[in-house]
Amino acid sequence: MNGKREKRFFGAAQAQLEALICIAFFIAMLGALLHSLGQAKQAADAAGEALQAKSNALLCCAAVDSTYSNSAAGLLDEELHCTAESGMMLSSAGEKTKEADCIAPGIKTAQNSGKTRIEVTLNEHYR
Amino acid sequence: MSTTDSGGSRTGGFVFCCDQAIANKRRGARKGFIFSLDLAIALITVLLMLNLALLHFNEEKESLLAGAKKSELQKNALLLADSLVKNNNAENPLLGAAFFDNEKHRVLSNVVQKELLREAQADSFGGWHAQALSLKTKNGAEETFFAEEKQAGKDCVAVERFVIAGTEKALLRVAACEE
Repeated sequence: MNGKREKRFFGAAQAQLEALICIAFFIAMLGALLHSLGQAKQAADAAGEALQAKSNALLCCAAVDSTYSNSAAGLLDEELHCTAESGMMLSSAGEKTKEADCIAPGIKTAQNSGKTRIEVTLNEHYR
Repeated sequence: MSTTDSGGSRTGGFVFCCDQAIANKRRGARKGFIFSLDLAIALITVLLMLNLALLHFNEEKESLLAGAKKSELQKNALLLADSLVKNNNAENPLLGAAFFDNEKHRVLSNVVQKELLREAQADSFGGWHAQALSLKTKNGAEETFFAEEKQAGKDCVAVERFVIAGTEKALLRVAACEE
């Protein structure tokens, strides 16, 4: 009889130990999963910023090149989130800075009336 | 294994062996599922699924990157062709080969000068360059002004525009490739 009781006691203890190990393992897996999700979110945010910067740079280049092609003299009063440097348009979003190559040969950043403007040297259509 | 007493009857040995085997089997069953294959199979399945998901995301990312690069090249080729047919630039005919009307003192958009086109040369714009320029007239005659060798593994985009070359309608083809 004592032998049977001992077997039952150790059997129950073993089952509890297994349950504890399982719970601990589950919590550890959950923690690892949450950490991975956090890392993935950070990477996605960084990628989003890079995409935003590149899109802005391409948009600015398209505006500048269209202005050059059509000899559009005058002031384009639209906010562009870019700066001109060495024939390229640079744009920043967050910590990411991206560039785009433009076709127009003479573009530069200038200060005008307290605002930063982009100047495009045109090829005049009317001479 | 069996033992026999002096009387020759089998005692205990064989029966003991069977009981022991059964007892061992029961002891193994009481060890719980930790020691079973179920948990291992479940873990392997989860890891496989995670791996497949990561591979899928990576492929999606590569596809998006390639698409974005192609879009940028298409934009550049379109704007180069636009500049070519709308501007008159004797210094760099690649950026302007439109006809300049001296009488009207203005550039005629979409009317190109073959002389200027013949002076046009391939040019680089940083991440991409103009790879080829040609003009195909309505009667099928095609004149290539310049054509560089296409580099292996580099993506190219060609844009065509209807223009008037001299007095006839023609198709102007501009090709741009990434560097």
